[in-house]
Amino acid sequence: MATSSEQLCQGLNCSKPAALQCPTCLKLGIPNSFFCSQSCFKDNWGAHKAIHKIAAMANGPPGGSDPWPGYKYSGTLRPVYPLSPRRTVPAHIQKPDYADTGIPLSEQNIRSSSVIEALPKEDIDVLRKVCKIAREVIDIGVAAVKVGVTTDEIDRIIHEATIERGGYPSPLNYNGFKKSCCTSVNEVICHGVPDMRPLKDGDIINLDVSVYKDGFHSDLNETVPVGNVDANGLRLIKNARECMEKAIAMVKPGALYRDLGNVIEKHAKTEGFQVVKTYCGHGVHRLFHCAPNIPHYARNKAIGVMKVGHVFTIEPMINEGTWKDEMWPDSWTAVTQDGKRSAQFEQTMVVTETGVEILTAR
Amino acid sequence: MSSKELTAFLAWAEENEILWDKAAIEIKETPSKYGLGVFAKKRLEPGYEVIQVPKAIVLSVQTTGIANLLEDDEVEGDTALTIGCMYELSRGAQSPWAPYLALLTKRPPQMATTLSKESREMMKMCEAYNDIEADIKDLQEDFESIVVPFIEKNSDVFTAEIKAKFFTLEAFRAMMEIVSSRGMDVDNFHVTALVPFADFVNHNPMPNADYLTHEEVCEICGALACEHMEDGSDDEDDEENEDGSDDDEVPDLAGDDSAPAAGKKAAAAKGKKAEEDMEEDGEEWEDEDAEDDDDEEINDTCDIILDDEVEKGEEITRHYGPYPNKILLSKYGFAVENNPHDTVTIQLDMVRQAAQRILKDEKLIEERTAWFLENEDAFIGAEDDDEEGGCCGGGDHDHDHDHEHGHGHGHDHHGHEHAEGDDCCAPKAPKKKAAEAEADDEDDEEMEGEEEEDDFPRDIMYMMHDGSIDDRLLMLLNVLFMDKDQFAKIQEDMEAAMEYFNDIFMRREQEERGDEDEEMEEDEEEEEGHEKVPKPELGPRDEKSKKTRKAVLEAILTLIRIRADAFGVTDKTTAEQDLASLKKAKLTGPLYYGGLCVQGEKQILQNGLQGYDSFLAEL
Repeated sequence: MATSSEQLCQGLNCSKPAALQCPTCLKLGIPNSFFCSQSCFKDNWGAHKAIHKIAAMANGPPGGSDPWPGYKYSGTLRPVYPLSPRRTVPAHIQKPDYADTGIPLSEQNIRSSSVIEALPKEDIDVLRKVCKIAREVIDIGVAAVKVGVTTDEIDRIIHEATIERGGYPSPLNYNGFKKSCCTSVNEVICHGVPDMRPLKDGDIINLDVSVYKDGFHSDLNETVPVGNVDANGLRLIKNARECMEKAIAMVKPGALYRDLGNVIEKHAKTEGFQVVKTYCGHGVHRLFHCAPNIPHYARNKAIGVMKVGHVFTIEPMINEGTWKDEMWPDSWTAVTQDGKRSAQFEQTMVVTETGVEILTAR
Repeated sequence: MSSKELTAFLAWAEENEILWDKAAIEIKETPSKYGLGVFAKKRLEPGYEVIQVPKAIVLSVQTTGIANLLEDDEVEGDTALTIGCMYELSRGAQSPWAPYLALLTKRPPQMATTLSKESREMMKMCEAYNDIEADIKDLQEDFESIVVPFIEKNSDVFTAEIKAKFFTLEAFRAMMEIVSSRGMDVDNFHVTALVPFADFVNHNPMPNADYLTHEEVCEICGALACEHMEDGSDDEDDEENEDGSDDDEVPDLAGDDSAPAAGKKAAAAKGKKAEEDMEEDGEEWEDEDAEDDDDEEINDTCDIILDDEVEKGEEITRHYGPYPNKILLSKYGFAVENNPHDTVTIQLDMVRQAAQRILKDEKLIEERTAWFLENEDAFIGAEDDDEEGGCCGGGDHDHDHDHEHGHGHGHDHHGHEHAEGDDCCAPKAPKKKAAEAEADDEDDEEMEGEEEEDDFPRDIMYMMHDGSIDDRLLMLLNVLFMDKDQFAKIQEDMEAAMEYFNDIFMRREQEERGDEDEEMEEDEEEEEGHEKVPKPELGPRDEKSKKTRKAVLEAILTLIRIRADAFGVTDKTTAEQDLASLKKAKLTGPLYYGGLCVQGEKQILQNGLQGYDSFLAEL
C-alpha cells in the first residue's frame, strides 16, 4: 500500500496524482479511494460505486475493534465490531416494503407532509394488538438486561421474541439498519446499533423496540439501569419518563402538536437537563415513520392539530449535558456532543374522543 | 419611531435567525406615512444581502399550526393562508409568530376595502372601483362559504369563545388585507406566505433591490433534497438505486478544504434537473456552491439583495410586479404616480359600438369579431406557448393573486410587446437562486382568469400607459375594417393572415415608434460602425392599406371617447391639471391612491387621443 503522500488516481486508464478521496469510501472506512479530479471521478463512478455495495454488506472492516481510526469520540463508549451476521426472518412472516431493499418506498410516496391520517376504529383495533405484542417483546428484552450481557445478545432475544409472535422487527433493514432493535447506552441518544460490547455495571441502556404485524407498525422504548447506577443517572431516567408522561397527559382532540414540547422542556429544565432537538416523535401505523412530526423542545413550530384517530409516538430524549447531538461514522448512532448521558422513553398512542389511549401501555 | 412592538419584533427576528446587519439597515416609518419601510443606515453596495429570512419562519399554509386541518378540508389559496394567520393570531403570545403578528395588527394596512361607501363612490370614475366592490363582495362570500363551515367543522379547535373574538367577518377582512398586501411567493411548497422582515420592503417602480428565493423544492416536504417521489419524475433514477445511500448522483470528492455533504450536491443536482433549459446556468450554479460553501449546507432563505448602490438614509425598495394601478390599489392598498404599467381596459362591447358608428353594419361586425375570437390563438400562438405551457397545473399551484375572485383583473400582459416591460416576463439573472416568482406569476395569472374556462377573458383589451392599444385590439380593428377581399383572403389562408398581421406590427414599429428608433439607429451607426441587422424594408402604404389604416385610427379615437364617457371622464381639465389638484387636496391613504387611479386612467386616454390624432394627421 503506498504510504507516500503522492497517491495515484483510481480511475481506469488514469494514473495522475490524486489528492481527493471518495467521500462515501471515507464514511465506510475504505482506504485509498483517490481520484485526481471530480470529472475523472464522475467518469469512473459507475464502476467505483460497486465497492460501496461490497463494503456495505460486510460488517465493518475485519479484525478491528476500532472501525473508524481517527474518529474523535465524544464520550467513553466504543463500538465493538464485528457485528453479528444479519438475522433472518422466516418466510411466513409478513414483511414491510423495505425488508429486502432497505428503502421504505411507501414513506416516500406520500402526497403531502401536512396530512395526518386519522385511523378508523377497525385499524386501531388491529394496531392495539400489535402494540401489545411490542410491549411483551420489550419486557422480555428488558428482563435480559444484565451486567456482562452484550447488546447483540439482547438484540437476538428481541428478534426471536418478535418472530415467535408472528411479527417482523421493524428496524431490521429500515433504511439499511442492520439490527432488529436499537440499544442506546449512556451517551448514545438513540439508534444505537447492537454489537459485541458487554454491558457494564453503572451503564444506562435504552431499548427501542418496534414490531410490524398485520400491516401495522408499533414503536416503544425504555431506559433501564444496568447494575448499580449513580444518583444522577437514576434522576435522568426518572425525569425522562416523567417528561413523556406529562406530554401524554396533554393529548386530546384540538390540542396542538407543537405545544407538547413546551411541557417537556419545562420539566427537563427543572432538573437542569436539556432536550434533544434533532429527533422527534412521529406518526406510526402503516408507515413506520410518518406525519405528524413531533419535536420535544419548547417553542417549536410543529404543525398539526390533534384529531380523533391520530396515532403517534412521543419519545423525548433528555440529556445530562448539552442538547446537541452528533453522529458516529456508522451513520446511525447518535451521541451527545459532550459525551454525557442521555435517557429516553417512548409510547405509541391514539387520540380518542376524551383524550388519549396509550396503545403500548403495560 | 421605535414602538415597543417594533422592538419586540426585532428581538424575535434575531431569535429566529433572520439575518440583517443592525448597523447597516433599519425599519422605520416612511416619510409619506404609508407605513413602515426598510432604510439604509449607511452606503451599501450592489449585491449586498440586506435581509435573509429562513424559510422555517415564514407563515404559510404549511407552517401554520392548523396546517393539517386546512389540508384535510381542502381549503386553498389566500383564504387558507388567511385562516392560518387568523389562527396564529388567536393563539396570542403562544404563537411562534406572536411578536410579528402583534406588529402587523398594530399597524394595519389602509386598504380601499375599509373605506366607507361614500368614499368608494368617489372612485366610480376608474376601473378600480368595480374591482374593489367585487373584492368586498367576494370577501363576504368567501367568509360565508369557506371560513364559517371550516370553523364549524373543527369546533374543538375553534370554540365559541375563540370564534366570537377572533373569527368574525371583520377579523377575516382585516387579515385578508394583510395577506393580500404583504403575501410573498416563497416556493412551490409554501407557495404564498408572510415573510417577516422581508415584507417591510416597499414597492417602487424603479427599485434598488430584488427579492430572491429558491423555488424548486420538494412539494411534499419543502426540502431542497429529500427522498420523496414527485409524480414519478424521480423514478428513473431510483430504479437503479439499490443501496439507499448511493444515488446515481455522484458525490463531491473530499479534498483538503471542503467536507462535502451528499445532501448539498444532491440539492444542486436537483436544482439543475429542474431548470432544464438553463443548463449552463445550472452548472455554474452548482460550481458556485461547491466553492462558496465549505462545510455549510445550502441555507434556504428568502432574500432581499441590492441591485444598486444606496446611500445613507435611502429607502430600500423592490418591484412588486408590473401591475397597473387598479391592482396595486386593490391588492396592496396604494397606487403609483405615472405608473408605467398602468392600463385602461377596453371592453369588447365598446369596440363593437365604435365599429358600428363607422361601419353601420352589425352583421359584418359580428361576423368579423366572431372570426377573430375563434382564430386569434393561431396568430398569437408562438408567443403564448411559453406562457401556456408553463407551470400552472391547477389546484396545488395557487398563486397569491386575485384568482379566486373570478373577475379577471386586467393584466397588461397578453399580447403586448415587451418594449418597456423588461422585468415582466423574463426572469432576472439568478445569483444562486431562481428569480422571484411574482414575475412568473404574471404569466400564470392570465391562465387562471375566469374560472369557467382555463383562459384569459377574451372580451377585454387594453390601452397601455403611453396611450397605445394592445396587439389584440390592433388586430381586431384591422379585421373589422379591412375590405371584403382582404378578409376573404385571410379567412382562407392562415399564412396570409399571419403575413398580414406581421406587416401591421412592423408598420406600427416604424410609424408609431419609428422616430425614436431611427434616431437610435443613427447613433449606433456612428458609434460602432458595425453591421446592424438589416430592417426589412416596408414599402409605402397602398391605397387599400391607407383606407383601412384611416378607419382603424378613427375607430380608436371613437373608442377612446366611448370609454371615457362610460366612466364619466371629461376633458374639461387635463390629466396634468388633475394631478396637480389631487396633490393640492392633500388627501392620504386610499382616497389619495384612488384619486391617482382615476387620474392615471385619464392620462392614458389623453395620451391615446393625442397620439392617434397625430398619426391620423400624418397619414
